[in-house]
Amino acid sequence: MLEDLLGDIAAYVKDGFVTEIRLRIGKGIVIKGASDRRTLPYTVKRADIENIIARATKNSLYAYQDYISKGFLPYAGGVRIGLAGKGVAENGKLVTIRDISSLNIRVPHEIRGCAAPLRHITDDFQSTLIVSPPFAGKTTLIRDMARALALKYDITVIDERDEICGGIGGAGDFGDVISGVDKSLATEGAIRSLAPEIIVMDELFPEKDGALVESVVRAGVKILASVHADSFERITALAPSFVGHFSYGVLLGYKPSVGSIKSIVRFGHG
Amino acid sequence: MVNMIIGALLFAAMTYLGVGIDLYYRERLRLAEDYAVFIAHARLELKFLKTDLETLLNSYKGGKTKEFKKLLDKCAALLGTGEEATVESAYLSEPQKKAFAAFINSLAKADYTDLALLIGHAEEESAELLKGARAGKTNKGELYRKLLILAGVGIMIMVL
Repeated sequence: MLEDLLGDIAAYVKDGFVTEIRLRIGKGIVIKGASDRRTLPYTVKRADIENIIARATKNSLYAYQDYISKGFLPYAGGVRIGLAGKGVAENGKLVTIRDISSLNIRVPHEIRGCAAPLRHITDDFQSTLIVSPPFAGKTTLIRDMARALALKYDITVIDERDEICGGIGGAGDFGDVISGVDKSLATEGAIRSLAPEIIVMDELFPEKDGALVESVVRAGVKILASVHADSFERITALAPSFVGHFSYGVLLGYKPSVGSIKSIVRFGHG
Repeated sequence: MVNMIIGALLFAAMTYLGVGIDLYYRERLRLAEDYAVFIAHARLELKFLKTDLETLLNSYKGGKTKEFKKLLDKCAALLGTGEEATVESAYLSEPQKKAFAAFINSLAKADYTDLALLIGHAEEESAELLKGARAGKTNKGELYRKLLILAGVGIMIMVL
């Protein structure tokens, strides 16, 4: 799968545990594993970037405009390609990215059982917020928690970027999945027509998604979600009303390894 | 008797040539019509349904000529292997082949905002191609067919 995407340069990306591949024009390929980072002896050319984009978009850039305007491209198997280049804005919104000069290919990994230490939360579920800095394994944890929750509850996964369930697991493993649609658009329909007990969402932004979380909680539906932050203190100080909708918080960190649970707190709300 | 056979053979050869030329121009017109219909179809599929290009090329069944389907299949196959689409057809001039290939290759690289412009340009080119093909069919295809059949009759009479 990754070979199909990378084409000729796949040969430089040796086998092994790869979580992230960074390509920047004129620089060496940077590979991230679970806890290491190495630069490969291959200088990325503009043609490499263009070829990867052509493969990811099936030679149809126009069909991926909505994704590009959000700064990424999805690829098979839940792979997400972050884009950097010259942004084009219209009416205060990013409409596209031109002259793409670097890519960050993020490769999802399924670690079955990584949510086992949180069994006391998944067994008697209350709204839970996974708090994590970028690249600390929050999607991996949410995926495994969603799988565990789906065995017991009616859950709906709002998989906006095809990262939680995309290409991983079989049909029904995650309950009901709505993918490729903005969270706010998908959630209303999900509550009305799918009647979930729990809604699972990745990467919330308190400033933007606060009202969405409030509407879900108001409907009596519990939430499993994640947010980018490096501590409970910071997220609670910055967005107290947002955090107030959750009963539990799980803080992830990089040490001793990516995905390590640093602490679990009960917020006392939710 | 020999003269009659020679005359008939010459008449048949001239008629065959005339009909062949006429068929060539008719096929060229059908190809141009296929191209125009395809562009209209592409506008709908790409702009509103955001169908990816390879699917569009592979699944298009609207053409009246096998030649057009062959062109699309070849373009899809080349794009699938990461190469640029090229067009080969006996019914198109070099500039027309280049314009067709450029349209497909540009579609592969166009973002959504460029799409309307690109399709609009292809529609203009296609209209020109269609106009030329219609004129070719009337002014050349039908004319050569009639002239060559008449010439065949004339030769047959002279031989007899």
